[in-house]
Amino acid sequence: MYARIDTDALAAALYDEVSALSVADILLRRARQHPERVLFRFLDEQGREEDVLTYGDAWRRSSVIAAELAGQGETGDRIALFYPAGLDFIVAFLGCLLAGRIAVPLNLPSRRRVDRCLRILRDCGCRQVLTVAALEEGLRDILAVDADLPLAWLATDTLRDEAEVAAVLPPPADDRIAFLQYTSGSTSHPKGVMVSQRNITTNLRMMRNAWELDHTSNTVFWQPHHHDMGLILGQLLPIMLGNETVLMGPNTFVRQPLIWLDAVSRYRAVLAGGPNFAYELAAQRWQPGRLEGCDLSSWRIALNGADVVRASTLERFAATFGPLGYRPATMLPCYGLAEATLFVSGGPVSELPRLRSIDARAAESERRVRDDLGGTGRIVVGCGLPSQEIDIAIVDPASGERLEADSLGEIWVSGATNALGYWQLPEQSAATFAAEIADEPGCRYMRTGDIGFIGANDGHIYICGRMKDLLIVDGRNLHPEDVEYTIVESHPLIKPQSCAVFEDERGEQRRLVAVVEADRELKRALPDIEKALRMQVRRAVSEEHGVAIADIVFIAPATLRKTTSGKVQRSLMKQLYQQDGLDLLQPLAVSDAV
Amino acid sequence: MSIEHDIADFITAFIADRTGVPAHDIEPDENLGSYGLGSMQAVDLVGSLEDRYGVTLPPALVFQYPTVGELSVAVAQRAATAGV
Repeated sequence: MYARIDTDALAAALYDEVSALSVADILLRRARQHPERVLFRFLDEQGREEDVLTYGDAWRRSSVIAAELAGQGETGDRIALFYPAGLDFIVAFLGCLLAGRIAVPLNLPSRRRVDRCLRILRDCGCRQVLTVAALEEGLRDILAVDADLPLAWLATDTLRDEAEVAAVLPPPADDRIAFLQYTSGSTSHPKGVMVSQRNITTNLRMMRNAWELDHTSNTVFWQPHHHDMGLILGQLLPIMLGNETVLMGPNTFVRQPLIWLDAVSRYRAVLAGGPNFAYELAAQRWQPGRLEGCDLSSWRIALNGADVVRASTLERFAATFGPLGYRPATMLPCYGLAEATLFVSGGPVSELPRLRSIDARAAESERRVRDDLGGTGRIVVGCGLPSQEIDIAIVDPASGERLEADSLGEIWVSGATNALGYWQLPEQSAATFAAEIADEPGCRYMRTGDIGFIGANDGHIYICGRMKDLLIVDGRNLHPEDVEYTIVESHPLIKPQSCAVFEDERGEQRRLVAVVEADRELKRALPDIEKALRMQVRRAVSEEHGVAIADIVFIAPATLRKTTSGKVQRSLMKQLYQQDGLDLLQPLAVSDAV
Repeated sequence: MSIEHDIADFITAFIADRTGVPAHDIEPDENLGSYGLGSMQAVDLVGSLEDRYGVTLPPALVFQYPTVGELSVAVAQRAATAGV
């Protein structure tokens, strides 16, 4: 403990100097200034400290990896990173950045779910893979299903790292691509967001300034490092801050979420967070007598982002953990997306989350936000003020005109935090990243695809939904067309273009619903095979996407609504479903929905 | 009620709660993955079983015993040896 206090002044001294440097450059300066200071601690499944990485270690190990990479391939090569939860990932990631290679952090593929991974490897033209020795053989085996992928492998934990490599110099915070973030796009068409060195630095500085963080802002994170939240917030923000961060694997959190809260208490964390479900899960799994002696009073910022923020969760979490020192004003709902590197809005800190009850009908018909005073409105949780480094506009998605406050429209973002575009997709990149507001030429905006409004009296951003029918499950994006494809493939009697998948967000939990249109053949067979068919559909969707279809509804032939061009109208089907307006084949299916 | 039955009911209720699949659709000998229980929820289930029955379970238990029937037997055995 004394070592940390010892280095506090040294860490604080770099606050201004690092504000505009690349993240690898910041690490170098901090490694020179306070090499012994702890950067990361990693907790094992039981919450015990398993591994430690100081600022000096992190620089030395990443410079050794960079030197190794420099000896093979070329600048700008894409390098896939397959790492288990732990501290090997971050040094490999920084090694790529130091060597001028483009890092591509990926989820560990399983034998069954290797398809998306292979498509990404092909999409980015990756020739080199970094991993740890313990995983190399298994991964080689799994990826060998595609014999046309010529991959070179390097287990970075086997490199000797007694001394740093003097010749390695950090890159400037310029517009060169640092990494590709593959969280957007469907399985069949993955989209790699190109995040530049400048993007990273800008976004880290935006978070630091908006949330008033510094070297004393210790953090605890469990998010996976191949996701933007886990990477930018959990692994890169600490380097800019010069703080001490405690990491654990996603599985450790999910199995025993209270380990997360215990770590906040033990390490006196200031910043910790996750998607809404993390708070829900922690409250759900708490029992009287658990976490005795735990003190959450150091917790100043409980980030809640990457998913819809639910008012009921905020209440439940505060009621459960208030007695341990958690304050409701700690909860900080925020908004962001990979296309903006990560963070867009959230804060100011230490204010209660803002809730607005809006008239859902007026919002839908007039695109105007009216407060519902009768207490029956839809509750929308505010996602804070936009960062001062960006400009937010609410735009009519059809006309491209800027809308005033308290009007519903698409959220557009402009600023140096916007990513460069999608890897090798010039048309989609132009459409998403180079939009212009009508009558305001010359300023490029990024279209988020999210629908929301800016509060007329507080300037906060409120998110109301998605323009596209994107499904968000536990903070993960899922494309309905992917799920529909799986359903159609799951049984020969289900015909192409006969299925609509959407989310039913009424009630406490959002549920996935599949409406399947039967043709005459399926209609005849249904009474005999219905139960088995439902099982088969659920199994297929679950194997392919890891999500549950809560309700499967079969409807009469030719009653699935489509546009004139033959596109399935999901939102219309959802409306009919919710208003009991579907032409159901099996009354049994309705009782399921209750 | 035997502890095995109690565990089986708990697992069934857990799956119904997390996936939205109605409890009466959940069969004792069907693979839990069929109900859309993802790998994350499988780990959540292991932790919830640990909490309720006061045992320590391997995180991969659900993958070893992937049905309600098998899993409840496996948890019951561990609970018995742990003296619960």
